[in-house]
Amino acid sequence: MTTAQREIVLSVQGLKKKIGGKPIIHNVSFDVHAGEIFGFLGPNGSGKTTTIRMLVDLIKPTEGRILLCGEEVGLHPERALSHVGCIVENPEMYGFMTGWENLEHFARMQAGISPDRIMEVVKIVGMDQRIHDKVKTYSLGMRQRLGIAQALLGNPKLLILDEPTNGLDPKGIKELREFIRMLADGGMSLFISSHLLSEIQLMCDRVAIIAHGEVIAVGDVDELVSQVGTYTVWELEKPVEGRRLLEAECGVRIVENEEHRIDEAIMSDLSDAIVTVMDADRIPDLVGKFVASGNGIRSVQRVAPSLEELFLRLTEGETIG
Amino acid sequence: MANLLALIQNETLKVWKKKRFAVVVLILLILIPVFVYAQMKIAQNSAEKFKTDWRAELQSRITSNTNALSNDRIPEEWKKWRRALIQQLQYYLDHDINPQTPNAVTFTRSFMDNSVTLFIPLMVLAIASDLVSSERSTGTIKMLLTRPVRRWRILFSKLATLTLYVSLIIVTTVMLSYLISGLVFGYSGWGAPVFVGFQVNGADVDTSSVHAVSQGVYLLMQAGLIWFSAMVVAIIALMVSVLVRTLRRVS
Repeated sequence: MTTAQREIVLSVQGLKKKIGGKPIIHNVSFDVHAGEIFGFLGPNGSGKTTTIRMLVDLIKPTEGRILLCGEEVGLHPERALSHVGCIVENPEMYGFMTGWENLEHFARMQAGISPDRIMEVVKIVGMDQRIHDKVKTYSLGMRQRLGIAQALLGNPKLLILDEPTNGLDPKGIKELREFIRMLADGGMSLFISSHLLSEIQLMCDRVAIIAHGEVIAVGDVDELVSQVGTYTVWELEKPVEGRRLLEAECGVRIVENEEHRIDEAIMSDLSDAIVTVMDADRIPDLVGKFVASGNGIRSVQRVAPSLEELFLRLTEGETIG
Repeated sequence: MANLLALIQNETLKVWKKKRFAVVVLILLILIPVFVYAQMKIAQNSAEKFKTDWRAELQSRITSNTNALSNDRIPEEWKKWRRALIQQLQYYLDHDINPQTPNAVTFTRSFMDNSVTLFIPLMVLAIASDLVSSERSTGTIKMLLTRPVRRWRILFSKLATLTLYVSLIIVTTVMLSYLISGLVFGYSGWGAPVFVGFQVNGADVDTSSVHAVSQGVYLLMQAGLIWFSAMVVAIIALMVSVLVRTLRRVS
């Protein structure tokens, strides 16, 4: 594993939080390495924001340790937080000041941020056109960018973004994704929470999945996906005969439409397709058999299940109570 | 780690940019001319009613008080008060001041007297109550608290800013009322004497330590006391606005 040898930027160990005697977070542990995009996935109310609030010292954990670049948040919050930029929930800035004045304001709260650095982050987020306008005239996307600019001011090693795509349009989401990838390529670690599985799948290298205040899985996004297995989808000219042929083959299992959980967006283009679980090595052999039986093949494709499938498998048996 | 001065600069800028202080000045610019006009009308009326020679009247009061001083039956502390009164009346005569006509300094004095109970606390509240609660309601408090700065420093910078603005409100009120009323009543009156030192002991007034101070000194002392009472209001307002949100969060 190459990731394990890399420097650990954020380490969460045995984190617990009780609010009013009621446990909200039970034993959350994970590590975030340098230069990776770490996803924090869970449905609404699973404790994502509560965990993030503890990471940035807005609330104190009942138990457990949080280490940011080796500094414990509970003991030296100001030293630990100087390595971090964050946006918790929405990027809230002062609407009665301009974007530039807001950045100046937050720059004053940390030593060693020059006006040149402010100019630099403004350029990074591409806001040089409107930076001297009042923030109350900004759109949500621009506020989001200004929030990120603010978080980047202190040259942090870790950037924490809570539901960054909330309220953005598809174009904005795509831009944000590219932007996040660019920051990660520059050596920064990113910690991104989301309740959208597809988003984490597109954006992140590794993921921690949280449900009911507990981490139920941590790992590479691709590895976790491959655990669930890949589907082989056949699109044939004569689906009924093809189905009969596939059923007769051993080592091929046909999955009915209601059972598989491939993204609906993908399946809408493949209405008559047959979904199977099988060894990829057997595809050429079967293609030969179809051709011999005079059944034309429109397409054969390997489709990875969505993270939703993975999520449902991991939380199987659990009900919201 | 950011230094306190930078934090205080931040807070001061935010209050300024929100135009809170501008509103205070605007209210003063409306209120003061109204009171100046009223005071002017009163002075005109009384001048018409009492068309006597004020110099002769002053002179006769001085004479009768001087006579009383030689009376053995009057107790010593009463004499002390009379001596101070003579001193004040003599000052009016010497400087050719009619004690009945107002000047900018007496106007400022009485304006401050009246504003200490309602106007100044109100203006102070407008700034103090907003300092913490607006950060809470807009959510910007999260941005402040997740920066590498200790929480007491942020709260302290808000208190320092509040002190600054309370002082500024009082100085501005004095300056504006002096400048505006001076247009009508003239800018003199700094040296006019005012009696201070009356002490109430039960039902009696103890006049033993009565003495006259100049109006300028009086105004300074008055402003100092007003500053003190305004600071108490400000600190209570700040404390309440911090506590209210904390309680809401706990519940």
